[in-house]
Amino acid sequence: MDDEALLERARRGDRDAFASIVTRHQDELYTMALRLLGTPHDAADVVQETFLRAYSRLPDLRGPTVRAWLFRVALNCAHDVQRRAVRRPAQPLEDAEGNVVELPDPGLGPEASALARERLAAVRDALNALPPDFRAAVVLRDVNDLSYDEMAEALRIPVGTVKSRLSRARAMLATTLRASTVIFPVAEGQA
Amino acid sequence: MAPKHVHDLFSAAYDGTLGGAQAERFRAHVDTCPECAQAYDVFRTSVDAVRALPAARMPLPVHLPSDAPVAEQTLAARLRRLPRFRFVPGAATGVAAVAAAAIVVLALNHQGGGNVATNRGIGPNANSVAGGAPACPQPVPASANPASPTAYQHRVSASDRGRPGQELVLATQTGSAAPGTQVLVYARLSVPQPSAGAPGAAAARSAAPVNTTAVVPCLRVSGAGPLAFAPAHSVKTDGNAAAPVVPNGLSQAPGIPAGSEAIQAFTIPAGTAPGTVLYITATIPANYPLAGDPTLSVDLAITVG
Repeated sequence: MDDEALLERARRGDRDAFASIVTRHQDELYTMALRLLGTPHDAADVVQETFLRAYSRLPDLRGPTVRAWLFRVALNCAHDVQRRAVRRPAQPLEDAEGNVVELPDPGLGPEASALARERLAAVRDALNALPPDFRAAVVLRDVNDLSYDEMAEALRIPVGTVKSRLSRARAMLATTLRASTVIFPVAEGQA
Repeated sequence: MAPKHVHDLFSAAYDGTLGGAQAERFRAHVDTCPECAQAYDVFRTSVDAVRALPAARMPLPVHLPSDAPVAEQTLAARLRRLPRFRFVPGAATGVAAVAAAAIVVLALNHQGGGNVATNRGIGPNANSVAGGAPACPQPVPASANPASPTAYQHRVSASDRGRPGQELVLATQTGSAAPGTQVLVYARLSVPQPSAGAPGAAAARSAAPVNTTAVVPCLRVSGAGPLAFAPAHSVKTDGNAAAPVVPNGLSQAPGIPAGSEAIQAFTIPAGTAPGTVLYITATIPANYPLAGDPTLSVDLAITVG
């Protein structure tokens, strides 16, 4: 059953239908929030609040797709968290021993795993260096793979603005990552 | 093709959205310009690196309100799901019960003999007030000023086309509170008169409201994950000096002017982790106070800190 059909059933009071929407989208919303905010705790809060808001506003739901609408609500929640985060320090993605909690692939060997973690940290730092609006554009497109139309709906901006913002954001990201020897290893003899 | 212009096309080229002729010109230039070729390689590798980030999984179960969002619930189900405010035992409970009964009487009088207490989807719960649980939702006397108290700046509001003229306001004084402290919550539905509760009101709802009356919504407090709290006690202030409903003096809290209708409170348990987000939900059930009114609810988040 597609999202629109589930939504229609949820509007009629079918909690299971809404639960199916939650199950279908919670991980991608969590991933988006994690890449936007950088902390698992805040990201989980965003997902929780997104679905609470969605649940209470089912009668008002508008928009071309449920997915884009959920992303829009999640972005608003993330903005609220970002505003609150100004007043408290960011929580690192590391445990008490300094290990990065977010492991890319448990099947990797020690050396490859270490390299993957370095790449992850480099990309994460480059994302965090972007202004929030630009970071959101890159995350929606390159992390969550939203279409231009879905991005326009989620960000509430025209498609043309989506394209130009994404272009500038990616260019800034490339400029930052170009200095990373993890992403762009220096060839032997050039060091 | 100037290098700057070529660089501006990197993003569209990466997504494959360049038009046929433009894509051909872009490819031809990059093939013959080492500088642009290297720049595009950096661009493409960088975007690829972002796209290679691992997906994450939501680590906690999503907690949803227990109420059905839109559908009509049976009366029994609604009564079963209504939160119960736990009164502090003792003399204050008796004072509250008597005063709450006075509110109902005032509400009836204020409606000019209208039957607010009987013409709605959920009964007035006057009996349950006397029995120790307050009414939910409750009618309260009209206020000349429907605005929320000025000190309650952390606020949200909701309305619905199915409830013309009605507005549900939910507010607290701040967006954060420490563990162990009491949180005062202003929650109020303003209902245009003379339609509220009067027989045949549904047909008269388009009439221009002369005044407003108020309804105290059901309140629920829940936290992320399994955390859930019930309001510790109800603290209502009523502008009518003849019927003060203040069992514990909290009506003296700053920012609550005479004429305020609906202040309730709950206490954040000591030991609640800082950073926990609590969600206050105010709900007016469907068919209240008028037949045909849809469910209306609004959420307000506060952070424990």
